[in-house]
Amino acid sequence: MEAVTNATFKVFKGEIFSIVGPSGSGKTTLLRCIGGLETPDNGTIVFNDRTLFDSKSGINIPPEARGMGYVPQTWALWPHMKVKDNIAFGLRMRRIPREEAERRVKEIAKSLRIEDLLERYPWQLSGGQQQRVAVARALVLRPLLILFDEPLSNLDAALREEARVWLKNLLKELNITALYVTHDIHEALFLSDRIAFMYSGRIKVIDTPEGIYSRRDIPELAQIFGYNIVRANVLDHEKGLVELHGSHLTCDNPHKVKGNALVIFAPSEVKIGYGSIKAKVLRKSFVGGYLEYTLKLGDSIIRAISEVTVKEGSEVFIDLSKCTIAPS
Amino acid sequence: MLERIMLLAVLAAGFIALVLIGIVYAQAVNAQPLYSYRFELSLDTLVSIIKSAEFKSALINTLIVALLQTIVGVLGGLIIALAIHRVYVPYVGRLEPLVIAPFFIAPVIWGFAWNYAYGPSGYIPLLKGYDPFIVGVLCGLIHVPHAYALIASGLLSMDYSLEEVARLHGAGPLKAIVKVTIPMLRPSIILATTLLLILGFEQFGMPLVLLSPYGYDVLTTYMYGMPNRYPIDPYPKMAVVASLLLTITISLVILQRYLALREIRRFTTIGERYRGYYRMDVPLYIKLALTLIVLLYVIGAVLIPLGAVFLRSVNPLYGGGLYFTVDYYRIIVGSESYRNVITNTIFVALIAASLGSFLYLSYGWVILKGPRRAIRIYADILSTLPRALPGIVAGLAFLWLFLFTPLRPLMYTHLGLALAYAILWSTLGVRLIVSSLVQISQELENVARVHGASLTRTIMHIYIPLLKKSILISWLYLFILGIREYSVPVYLATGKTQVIGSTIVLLIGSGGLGIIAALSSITIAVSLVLTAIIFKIGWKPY
Repeated sequence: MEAVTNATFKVFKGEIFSIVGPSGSGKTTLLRCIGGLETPDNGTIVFNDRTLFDSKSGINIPPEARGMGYVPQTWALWPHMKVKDNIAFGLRMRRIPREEAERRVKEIAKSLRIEDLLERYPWQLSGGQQQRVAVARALVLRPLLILFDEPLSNLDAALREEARVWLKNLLKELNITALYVTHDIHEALFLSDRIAFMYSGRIKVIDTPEGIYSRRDIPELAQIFGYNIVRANVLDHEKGLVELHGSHLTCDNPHKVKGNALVIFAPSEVKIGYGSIKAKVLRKSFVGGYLEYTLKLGDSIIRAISEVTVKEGSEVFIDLSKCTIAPS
Repeated sequence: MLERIMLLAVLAAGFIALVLIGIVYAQAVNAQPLYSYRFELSLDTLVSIIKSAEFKSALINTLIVALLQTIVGVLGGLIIALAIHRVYVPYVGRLEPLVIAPFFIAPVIWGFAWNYAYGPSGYIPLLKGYDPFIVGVLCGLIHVPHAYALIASGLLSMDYSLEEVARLHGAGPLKAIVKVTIPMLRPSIILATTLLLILGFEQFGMPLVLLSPYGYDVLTTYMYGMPNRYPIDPYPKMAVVASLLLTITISLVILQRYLALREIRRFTTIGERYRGYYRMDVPLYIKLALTLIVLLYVIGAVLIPLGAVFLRSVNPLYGGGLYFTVDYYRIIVGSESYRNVITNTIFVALIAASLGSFLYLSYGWVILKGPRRAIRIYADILSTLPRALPGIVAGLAFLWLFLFTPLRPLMYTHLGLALAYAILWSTLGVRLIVSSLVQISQELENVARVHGASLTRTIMHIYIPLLKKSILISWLYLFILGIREYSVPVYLATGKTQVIGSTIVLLIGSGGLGIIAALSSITIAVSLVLTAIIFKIGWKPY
């Protein structure tokens, strides 16, 4: 079983590069290979013109010699060391003189506003404080790359929002190159310069946040963004003419898909009371400002957002203001 | 209904444990013998024993044995746990069952095993004789599995991101092990250290076999030998030694609890998650050294000594050299009393395992879900208290309990012996059950209750089916302990109820070495087969 295949990508200096995907998509495995915590079967990892791993020539630099920083999901603060010793650990390993190490620990603690915590032990800190210490421990090394593995997923929702802003400002201020793994697409959109979307061990697409958000032609990505995905038959792939539940409809067809295909559209793109596609209203919910409908369209269940009021159980006609064809 | 019976069982068992300890102390400071049912406070016996030279030397010998056992056992357990669970050394993991095996064999049998293997007249006569230092080291070797199990469980529950961050931040594999892995194991190491100290103070079988012939006593053998030394009214003197031993072990149990509570708070990290299995790739010479240590242990400290017992059981040594016969086995099979001993052993182990399974399940239930906080704490403390009762002291205390209370009909019966086992193993057994009980979400019970099941039916239909496998495993585990037990029945079995363990102890005096070897071989074979079975079912020592 291969966890990751054909994952080719480049990260540029000073960039926050995120790897996003559902759990089990192989994003963490990829990160661990880059850190040297796992050994890929084949391939090459080059970092700053230095080959870290090459299956052909048998090069495999151990993690400690790769010069990176790491912030794991659990933060992994060593409970037997005080905060200051946690932060200073990497400096000691690099044999940085004691005075300089102390100065750098104080400096980073000050800029992360954790200087009051230096004498404490990790178990005496709150979740948010622990997360800051874990980031400080990586930053103090001034590494060329920091690996983040879902560093915010152990914070509660309110703190997570705050930490997101804090982290982005910090990384940009210090011009740090970061490889950031998360399953939360919105976190990735907010933080990243570029995003790689992974699905079942493959990188499906690499793009800017705006670019990723517009890639509704990738069903796995569309699903995460809450698009409707229904099966349909393409009648004319040049014009994008599809047959959907007995009605004809024209959609974008960027991949020129023929025959059986998926039609992808946003809930807000469903126009109730227009067009000729028949649907049945299963459920109507008021969610503030507008109504959210669950509709039965042939064998598929879709969501629609509308200001129009129709009854539950009634038959309605709908139209799609925009739709995209993707291979099934 | 069922929960009432469970609560009652726990209250009763806890009460018995308290009474046992009470009896020992009461006799130690009583000028009158227990059977007179009179109490007259007197410290004369206590003072005279403490002042005696024999007691002092026994105490010093005990300290030597306990300390050396702890150092050797914990170090060995730590190194082997790292070799099997942290460092990438191919195939070493497969030796795990052999590393654990010594645990299931009684120390009294180990005494013979070491002697037949390396003793002055052993097959490989490396040792010229025995003193407390040598025996301390040998005791340490047979307690490696205890330390191994605790440390391995610490290693496996550790969030290994802790080591990975160290690696990525510049620590090599050895540095990461020394600076992060081993300090992180501190709670398990402390637990293993206190456990081995307790077991060291209560060690009876090894010193009895190896030290007594050389004129050395430890506290347990000193107490055991008292009826010979003081034939008239030995009980008060024995009680004094027992109570001193108990004071030491109870203090250690309290220390262990205190340290455990302190460490747990410090070493629990937020949001732990475990992804598979992490192995550290270390330089080749370290791999080789670790492989060598594990192999040396398995071959030199497990296979050779146990093999020597088998060899001795078919080789009477008369006429010199190797001469094989199955005479000893023929004697055992041919004699009704030996056949009885074997059936008694199995019978008592069966009852004890069944009684124990029910009792520990009840304990686990009361500790986790007891009706009142006070009852939960009572159950928790009293389940750990029997840990402090050295087997030989416990046997004596039970004898007194049966002799001098209305429980008299239980004396020298299978049921009485099994009851003693079940109460004495509660520390181990409760931990076995509680660890699986806590994994069952309270919600499963809540849903069953809301959907109309009584507590009894919830236990019968939700808990027991979910715990089926772990109950089976703990039953088998207790059964092996029952086969293994030797010090408790020394005082609690007699004539028709004698079991293998106590028979071996009795035979030491009469010098039936061939029979001892054959009985030991049978026990070893049964224990190893059963151990293989519970490993197969899915038991892990951690």
